[in-house]
Formats: sequence, C-alpha cells, structure tokens
Amino acid sequence: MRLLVVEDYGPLRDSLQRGLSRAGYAVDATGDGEEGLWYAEREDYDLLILDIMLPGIDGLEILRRVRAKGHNVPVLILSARDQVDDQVAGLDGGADDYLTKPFAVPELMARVRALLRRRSGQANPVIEVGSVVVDTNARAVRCGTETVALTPREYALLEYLARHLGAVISRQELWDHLYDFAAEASSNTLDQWVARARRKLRALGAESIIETVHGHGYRMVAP
Amino acid sequence: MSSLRRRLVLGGALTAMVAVGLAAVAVGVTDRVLTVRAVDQGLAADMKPQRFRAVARLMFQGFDRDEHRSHDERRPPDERRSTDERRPPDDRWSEGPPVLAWSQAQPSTLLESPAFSAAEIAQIQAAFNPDRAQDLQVGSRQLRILYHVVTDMPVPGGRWRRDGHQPPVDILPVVVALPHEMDAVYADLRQRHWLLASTVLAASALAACGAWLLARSLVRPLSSLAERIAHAEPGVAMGAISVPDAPRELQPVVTRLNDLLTRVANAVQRERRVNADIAHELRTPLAGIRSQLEFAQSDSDEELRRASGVALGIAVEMQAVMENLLSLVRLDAGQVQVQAQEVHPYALVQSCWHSLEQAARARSLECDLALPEDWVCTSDATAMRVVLNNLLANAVAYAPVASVVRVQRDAQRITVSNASELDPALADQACEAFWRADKARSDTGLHCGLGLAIAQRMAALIGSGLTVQVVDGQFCASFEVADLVSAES
Repeated sequence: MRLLVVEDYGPLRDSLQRGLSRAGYAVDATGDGEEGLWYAEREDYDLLILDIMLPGIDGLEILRRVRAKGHNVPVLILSARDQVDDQVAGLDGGADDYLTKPFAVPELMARVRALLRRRSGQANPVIEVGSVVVDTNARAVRCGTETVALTPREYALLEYLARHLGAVISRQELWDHLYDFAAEASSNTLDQWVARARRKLRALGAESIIETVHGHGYRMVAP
Repeated sequence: MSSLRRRLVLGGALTAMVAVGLAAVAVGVTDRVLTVRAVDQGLAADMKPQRFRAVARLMFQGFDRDEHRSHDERRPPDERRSTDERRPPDDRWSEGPPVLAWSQAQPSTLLESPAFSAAEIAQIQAAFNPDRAQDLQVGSRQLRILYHVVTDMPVPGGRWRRDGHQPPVDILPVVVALPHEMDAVYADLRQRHWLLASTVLAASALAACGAWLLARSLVRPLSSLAERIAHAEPGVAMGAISVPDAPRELQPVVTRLNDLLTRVANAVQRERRVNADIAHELRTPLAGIRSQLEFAQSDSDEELRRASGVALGIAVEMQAVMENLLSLVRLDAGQVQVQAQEVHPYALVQSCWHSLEQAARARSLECDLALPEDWVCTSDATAMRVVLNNLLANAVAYAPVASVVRVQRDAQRITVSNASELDPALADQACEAFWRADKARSDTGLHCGLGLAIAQRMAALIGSGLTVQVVDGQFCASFEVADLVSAES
C-alpha cells in the first residue's frame, strides 16, 4: 500500500514516514503543499494523509484539486484544528476521515487500515484465501494456526494481492503500490519478494495461491 | 447607606425650605418694621400740629378759666366773639386724634382725652419715653404712643398779645402723647403673616418636588451608568457603556470608562488568543513527539522502548495540560455550546472512573459510588463528563494513597470527597486557574491546577454550580446539577 504524507512539521513528517514504512507501507512524504499536490496528481496512492496548514497550497485546496481531477483516493486529514467547523469543512471538502493532532499512533494506524479496507471494498479486516488468512489489523498472515514470518514488504505484497483477489496485478502496479517514489524500479527485486513469500507460505503447507500471469504480472487465487 | 438621589433630594429640599423660610421671615420682619415705621411716621407727622394744639389748649384752659372769659364779657356785644369762637374748649379740641398732654412743671395740669380713662391716662403718663414711639398695652387696646416734650411755646400774635396778656408759659415743659390704635394694624399684619406662612409651606412643597425632579434628572445618568456596571457579569467582557443624556461633566468619565473597557476587552482577547495560539501551536510538536515515541515503542532496543515509554507518559500528560488550557480559553471565550439531553449520572461517573482506574489502582484508591442508579437528569452530557472527570481526576491525583474517593448524591448535588486535607481558608481559591494546594507535590504526575477551574466554568456554562468545601477537614467538591430544561422554562 502506498501512502502520501503531506505535513510541514519535519519531525512529525519524518516520524510518520518512518513509522508507516516500518509497518509495511510505501510512504512518500513532503512538507510543501505544491509538491504534495504534484505527488497526489502524478502517482496512484492508496491513501493521502494531509495536513491543512501547509506552505504553498493548503491541505483543503490540495483535496479540492485532487477531487476535481476525479481521484477517488481516500484522504485522511491530520490537523491541529480541532473545532467542529474545521472538521466539517474538511469532511465536506472530500476528506474521508479527520484526525486531530496530537493523536495516538495506534488510532492513526487503525484509521489508515480502515480507509485502505474501504478503498479495496473489503470491509472485513480478515481476508481468507484457502488456508491462508491475511489479518490486516494484525498485519500478519497465518496459515492454519501458524503465523507466517514475513518482512513488512512481503506482507504488503500479500495484502495487496489479497485485497485484489482474483485480479491480475501488473508488475508496474505492484511496484507503484509497494515502493515509494525514491525506490529504483527493478523487476528482479519484485520477483524476489514474490518468490520469498511463496516459499514461506509453502513451508507452512499452504496451497499455491499466487499465480504468475506471464507477460502481465501476478494474481492471487483461492485454491 | 443612603442613595445619592435621596441625599440630593433631602439636601435640595432642605436648602430650598430653609432659603424660602429665611426669606419669609425676612419679608415678615420687614413688613412689620415698615408697617410700624409707617405708623410712627404718621404719628410724627400728626405730632407737629397736635403738639401746639395741645399745649395751646392747656394754656387756653387756664386763660379761659381765669381771664379770657371776663375780658370777652367786657367787650361790647358787637366785638364779642362768635358763638363758635366762644364754644367751650373741650368741644373744639375734641376733634382730631386723641391727644394727651400734661405739664411737667405743674403736675396737676392735664389735657385729657375722653378716649382714655383716668387709669389709662396714668399708665400712658407712667410709660413716658421722650421722642420715641413705643407699644403699650392699655386696657384691652394695643397702642403705639409717640411722646414729645414741648419746652418752648412760640406765640405768633394771638389773643394774649392782642389783649395785652402774657401766655401762661409757666406750665412748660409740656409732654404731648399721641397714641395710635394698633389692634387693627397688628390684626392686618398677622393676616399677612399667615398668608406668608401658607405661601412658605406651598413653596417648600414645590421646592421639595423641584429638588426631587432635579435630583432625578441629575442622578439618572449616574444611575444608568451604575446599573450597567452593576449588571456586568464577572468573567464576561462588558460592551461599551452608553449613557443617554449624559451631562457634559459625566461624558469624560463614560468615555474613559469605555476606553478602559475596550483596553481590558482587547487585553483579555489578546490573552485568550495567545493562550489559544500557544495551545494550538503546541499540538503539532506534541503530535511529533508522541508519534516519535510511540513508534519507538516497537523498536528492538529495550532501553529505547523503556525510555520512550516514560517520555510518552510525560507527553500524554503535557497534552492533557494543553487540552485543559485550550478548554479553559474556549470556555472563557464562550465558544462551547450546550446541548440539553438525558443524562444518567451514575453511569457517567462510572465511565469517568473507569478511564481513571489505572491511575487509581496505582495509588490504591477505591471509589465509593453511592449515586442512585436510576437517577436521570437533563443536562449536557459532555459538559457533565468534563466536570466529573476533572473532579475524579483531581481526587485520584491528590487523595492520600490507599484512601477512598466518595461520590454521593445530596438532593441535586453530586459530592466528590476524598481524604486529602485542605486548609478551609484555601477552599475558595481551589477553583482558580493554576492554583494548587501543594505546589511541591511531584509524586502525582504533571498538574498545573486547571482541572477545577475548568470544571467550575463548565458547570457554570450548563447553569450548574461547583463549590469546594472542607468537611471534617477533608476536601469535598459539590457539583450542583441544574436541570437544563427547567432552567430554560
């Protein structure tokens, strides 16, 4: 899952980027409104986390322009403004959620997960694919009673494929949603992650649920 | 203390009455003096002819009696005086004002007037005072008598010379007393004085009314000003004061007062804005600190996790202080809206205590919740939660270790008491912002003394009250829950 964080306060931005990355999300972060808008319009993000008071263009204007261009990306506003009017303005402006600073990180993570579920049309946080269970809340993959030891990147790959169960996902799309803007594109890297995930699942006796669609990409299917 | 209006009315009326009274007395005295003086002048004017007439008559009494009549009889009939001329002196001299005259040289010589008895004549003679009119009560009559002493009798011609006789000047000096009846004069004077007194009374009543009207007119702008100031609610910014028809003398006061109010309002506004800005500006850095520390909780380094956990606790408390400060500023600025709804105090207290349970357990505190479970009131649940949360948090922070926090109902009042001791003299200050009973305490976490201040303001916002008392030496906060619907109706 690829997220964009637009927050002008450096320490908070860095902390969010680091924390979300550690949780397995691909995170782009910027402190400038115009740059944020540029990212939001150019890249296909799974979630935007926007501050309101930003240099250049404020968060509400970024939101307005993104929505005007027809992007349905979920948007979480993260603002120090805690008044009801501010929240109403944000939500009416097209945001999907509003969180007031300072916030508890677990709450932020829960909201991020909820918004990502909504985007993929999966209301249930637990996705079952045969004997494999992808628990998006725990950010863990279980096979029977065993938990598969996955790196955050491997988990993100499995979660993305599980969210789009049955759909062929191109390498480019996977790359776009699993790696941030700074990552250098390499199909080999992606193939290596897929191979590792398959190996770990197989080690626990799971069925082969990730198919390779030659010339296109990958697909997760229920056995 | 009497009001300014009463003082002005009393002062004005008394001054006017005294002034009118003094003026009336002066008029009365002047009237009397002028009236008596007019009488005296009349007497003096009459005295001129009367004194010669009286002295002449005295002399003629002797002349006619002893000589004049014989001479006349000796005249030829054609030279004799006419009947009128020969008329007895008493008949001729009885015309005009009653005059008394007597000789000082010959006490027996007296010109009497039929208007006075012998006793009255003696009284008039005894009261002799030369050349000065005086009042004398003669019998039932009040007289004004002017005495005059005639020492010389000019005789321009006359019968003595014609007849070759010498006038009987040996009776000189002669005292002439000219009396004037004063009863009618004084009766008239009394009537005028009564009229004057009635006028004074009427004028005094009018003066009192005038003083009242004047005082009211003078005091009205001051009353208006005082009323506006008296109706100012503590803690609520006062708008500009307008005093209709303020006199010129009061206008600078009103202007300066309005300037002062504007400055105070600006200062309060500025203070609130600064507080709000500070609190607001702290949100983002606090969010940065919290997120850094919370993410650090999942770090592999145990020492980093422990340290970040402690720091996270401090950050959370700082956040609570900041939120409290912001709440206080918003409450003071009237930015919090109230919504009437059904509230179950028992459940509310239970919920509040639940959120504090961990901290209470750490200090081995127990909650004795003795509210009726079926008690329902109509108030703002959010505001009530803020009040109760602050009261309970305060109790958890300051109650002695291993004590009991009691929550009871007394009529419409929720009392939260704990075993912490408080000087009764300090109870009134407990709800002031940034006040703490013991500033040196540090084992109860980070507190800045805003909780009770917020609770009191929030209670006031929902029409309720919060007071702090010391009952049996223990801290006891009473939250009077007012029914919002009843208050509105």
